[in-house]
Amino acid sequence: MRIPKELIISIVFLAVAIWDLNPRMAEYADLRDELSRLKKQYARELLFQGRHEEIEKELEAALQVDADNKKIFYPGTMPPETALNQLQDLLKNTLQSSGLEIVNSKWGAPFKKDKRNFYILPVSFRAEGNPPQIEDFFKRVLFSEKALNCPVMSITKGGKGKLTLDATVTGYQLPAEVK
Amino acid sequence: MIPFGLLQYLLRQTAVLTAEGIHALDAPGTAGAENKRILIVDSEVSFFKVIELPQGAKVTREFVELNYLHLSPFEEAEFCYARERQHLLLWFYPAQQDRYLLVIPEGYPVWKKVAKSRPDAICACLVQNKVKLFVIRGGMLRAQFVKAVFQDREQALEEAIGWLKKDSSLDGLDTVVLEDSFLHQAIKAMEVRNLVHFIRIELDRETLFMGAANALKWPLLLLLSAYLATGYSMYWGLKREINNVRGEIAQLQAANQPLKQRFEAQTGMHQFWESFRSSESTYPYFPDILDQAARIIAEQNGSITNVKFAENRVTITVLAESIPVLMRQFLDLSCFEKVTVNGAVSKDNRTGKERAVIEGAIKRRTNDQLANP
Repeated sequence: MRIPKELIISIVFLAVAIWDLNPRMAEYADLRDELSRLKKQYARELLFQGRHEEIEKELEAALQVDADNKKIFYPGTMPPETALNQLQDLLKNTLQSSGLEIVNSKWGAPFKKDKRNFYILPVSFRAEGNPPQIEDFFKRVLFSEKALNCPVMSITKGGKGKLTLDATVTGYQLPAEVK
Repeated sequence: MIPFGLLQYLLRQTAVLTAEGIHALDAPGTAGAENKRILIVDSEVSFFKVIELPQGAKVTREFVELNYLHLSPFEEAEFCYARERQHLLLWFYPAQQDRYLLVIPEGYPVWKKVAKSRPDAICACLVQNKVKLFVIRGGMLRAQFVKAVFQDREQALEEAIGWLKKDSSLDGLDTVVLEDSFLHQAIKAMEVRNLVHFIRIELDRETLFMGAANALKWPLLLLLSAYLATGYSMYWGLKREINNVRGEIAQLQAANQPLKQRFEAQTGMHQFWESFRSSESTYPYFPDILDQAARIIAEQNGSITNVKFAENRVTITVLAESIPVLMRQFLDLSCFEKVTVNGAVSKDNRTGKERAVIEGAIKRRTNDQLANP
């Protein structure tokens, strides 16, 4: 019995279809999904490229905001002691500008709250003065050139009709990686 | 009747076995008999026998072969047969190399056509240099003869009929002279059910396989080729398209990357500012709360002796005309979550006012307040 060569070729083709083409055809649906996903990604990249100029402008504005925001922090490049020293000087000037009399002042160790990546610089002080002077001091703290907060404070009556202000004012230092 | 289309096909597929060899039905005497599917056995090369069958005999090819093959005058014989009531019409002919689907003895269609109108007759037909004679009696084909012609054709025909009538005592039978195209006409007049007698399909495994293989080889090859070509072109086409899109994305990504990095860095800074604002502005600015509290206390002709802020609590030691009224006004302030009196309310004998230590829990800022400090 002589099998026709066309039939032998057909059998080879059938084997190729079963063992090679059919798995590829099963993969075909996944490839179409992949192509669809890639086309969406391509469209996104193309859109981004088309908006380069607009994004550049937005970025410039945002970078300006960043630069302004950084000014209210003590720089991360500065040693914390220097930053604390500068904060203490700032508070001293503020207290004096408000007419308050400084009794004592000391700084604490810089620390991070929770997992925040900026340093909190605490400075505690005692000062004496009248109510308008204390009010003026707090206004100056609120509108200071640096971001300042007053998480702890107490006001008690002192001698000679004056008030005693015990407070902790905090300033902030950027992490070293933020230039 | 055989349908016209099928008949045309059958006629094209028909070869005739004669003493000179095999030729195509539509081209006598020439080549072209190869690969035909139907064979008509000329009376000249066949040996005809009518056999009366025993009662209840079941006629099969094996039955005929076992019981009657010895009647063949040929050393290597093949045969075809038809059953007509209790008679077996049997034609022997020399074995052929080629296989045919149908082998029809010439006498059969001639008998079938003539017997319809003439149940008792001698049919004579002059074909080239031969006279063919078919004897039909009682509607049954009884004998067939072929005689060579050496002289005048008409005279030869008469002599042959005379010879037959004299030798076979068939003197009373009518004579029907057939035209030489009669065989064609007889085949055309055959019914499909009569062809069934002569089907010669040998159902052995090899023949079946080879038949199927030969019939299917080209359609199968073409179908599979088309399937493979289509499948692979679709698959590789899609792959190529994916690679092209990937390449284009890579180019765009390379162009977009510097700006993206700057954008992401700025997004990181933005998140940093948001994180700072939400953690450090959780509570209102304490001096603002003190300002509001002092105003209320002043309205009550009161005074603050002592005030302390820590975490989210404010503790105020206050001297006022009515602590309950002051408490109500404190609660009306939006900055307090809860206001309580620590310890007892005492009376100041010198001023006649009430003294108490009031503690307030400060409310967290809402998200709106955080967003718009």
